[in-house]
Amino acid sequence: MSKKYERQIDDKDESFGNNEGGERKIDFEDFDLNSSTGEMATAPSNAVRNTGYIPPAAYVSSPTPPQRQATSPATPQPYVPPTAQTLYSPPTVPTETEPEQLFGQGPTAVGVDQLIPPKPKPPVRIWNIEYYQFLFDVDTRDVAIRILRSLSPLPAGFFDTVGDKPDLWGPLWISSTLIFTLAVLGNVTTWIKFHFNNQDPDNQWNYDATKLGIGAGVIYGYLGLIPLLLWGACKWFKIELGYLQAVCLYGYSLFIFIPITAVNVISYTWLHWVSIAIATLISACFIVFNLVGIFRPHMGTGAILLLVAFILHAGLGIFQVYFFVAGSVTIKTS
Amino acid sequence: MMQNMDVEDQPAQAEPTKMNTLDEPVLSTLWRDISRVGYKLFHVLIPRGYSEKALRDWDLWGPLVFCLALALVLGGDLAVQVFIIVALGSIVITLNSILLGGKVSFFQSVCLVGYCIFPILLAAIICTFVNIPLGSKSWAIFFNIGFAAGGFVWSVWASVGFLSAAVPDHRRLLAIYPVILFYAALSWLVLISYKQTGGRGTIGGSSSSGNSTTPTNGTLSNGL
Repeated sequence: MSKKYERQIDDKDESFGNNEGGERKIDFEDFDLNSSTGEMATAPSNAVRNTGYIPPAAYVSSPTPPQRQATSPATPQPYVPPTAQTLYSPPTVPTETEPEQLFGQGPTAVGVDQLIPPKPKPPVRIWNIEYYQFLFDVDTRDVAIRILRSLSPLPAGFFDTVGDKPDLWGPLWISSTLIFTLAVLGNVTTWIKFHFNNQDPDNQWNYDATKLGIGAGVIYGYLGLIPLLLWGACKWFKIELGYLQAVCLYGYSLFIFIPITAVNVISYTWLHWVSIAIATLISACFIVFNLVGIFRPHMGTGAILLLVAFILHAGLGIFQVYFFVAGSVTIKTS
Repeated sequence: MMQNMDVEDQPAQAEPTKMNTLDEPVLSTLWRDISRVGYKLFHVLIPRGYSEKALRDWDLWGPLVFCLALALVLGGDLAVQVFIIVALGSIVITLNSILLGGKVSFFQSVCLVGYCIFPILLAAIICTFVNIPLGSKSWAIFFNIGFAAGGFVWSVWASVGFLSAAVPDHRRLLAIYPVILFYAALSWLVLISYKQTGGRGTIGGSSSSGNSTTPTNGTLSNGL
């Protein structure tokens, strides 16, 4: 790399610089004009100071933050012959004050007080809340897409949709909504059944406050434990599955139970069983088919793991019938 | 020399103010806090242009008072549930907003969520008073549903304005949805209290704390 600089400096003479006589009016060559944080360019500027030659911004190569880099430093950059425009333009007051606009536009002469680099942000450590923002790095649109994918039992690449941004928003709030819905609509359903079925005026319907507790325990416990077990099993058998991705998969698979819970307010027992069977099937197939892609190289142990996951999820689904049929009625026995 | 004069001036200036707050009547001390809570409450519930300034100096007195009042009005088993839901819920909602990238101070958000409980508290009080004459009618539950729903809608509407401004545009619904769930849970508790206190007749429903709930699957699950 240094050879290229030397070559450029050899090719040019002072007539290309913007300062005749070697004086430097503005020290902007001390700054890396490609970097949005305005870092100091290091080695090349040393070479520049000796000759007074100011290279075009394309050649200044201090380390830039990767996400803002236009070209990688490893690729040789094409030689762009400097024109009068790139070397000098009359000082203007820039209208924008963003660092990208100020420092990313090539050697434009700007006011000296606007060359102050912005303060570096303090590092985010594990005890700052901001450290955990990567767990919630989704937009409304992303969540909506993931939810819609979870409604289909066909293999459709859920992990491709998630990409490398598995989120915890979905699992957390879908499971909380499911718990709340089961508790509320479970009680509403038993109330409706009592109201329409009860012949004996001495019987009473009681609000079953345990449904919330049981629901929370089962669903939060399932969501906390089963992905952990799955991840542990994958680690054991050397299968690649991230913990967050497993939680994401299980969390979004619970979504379909929420509308089914609403359907189950219609208080026919056969409807309970049929609707929950359909929901369980869709949900379990969603989980299994999306895991198949990951387990394909390890089909022996993978098949057993998939079977166990399927059975456990079916258990969770069938268990939800409890919320709608467990009556909360005290019968007066006289 | 100037500095010495300043130091000597300060104690003389400090003492009159200290004596003022100690000497003032208790009512004016209480009234100062109550009026602050009232001012913030008014601006939160009836949002106007300069409401955000009102919330800038947050306090947790308002949320505590409303939470206590709601627990007292609902009474019994539900009081404990109210406390748990309000305490945990405000913290979780605030953490959710911050994790989604919201630029909102922790206590400011807890303060806002707590103040917006007030419509649900109103609904609970009104339901309690409505159930006294009407408790034995089976259609009285629709009054309860109406008031609880009204309190829920008002609470959500009051808090959505502030919270949605704090979070980036693309994630607004993600930040608002837990608020909806939170106020729905509280409104459900208000609705349930009808069963605890008022409702009689064919539906039944004396307080469930004394009775043992024996699950009787046989009689009910024969289908409609």
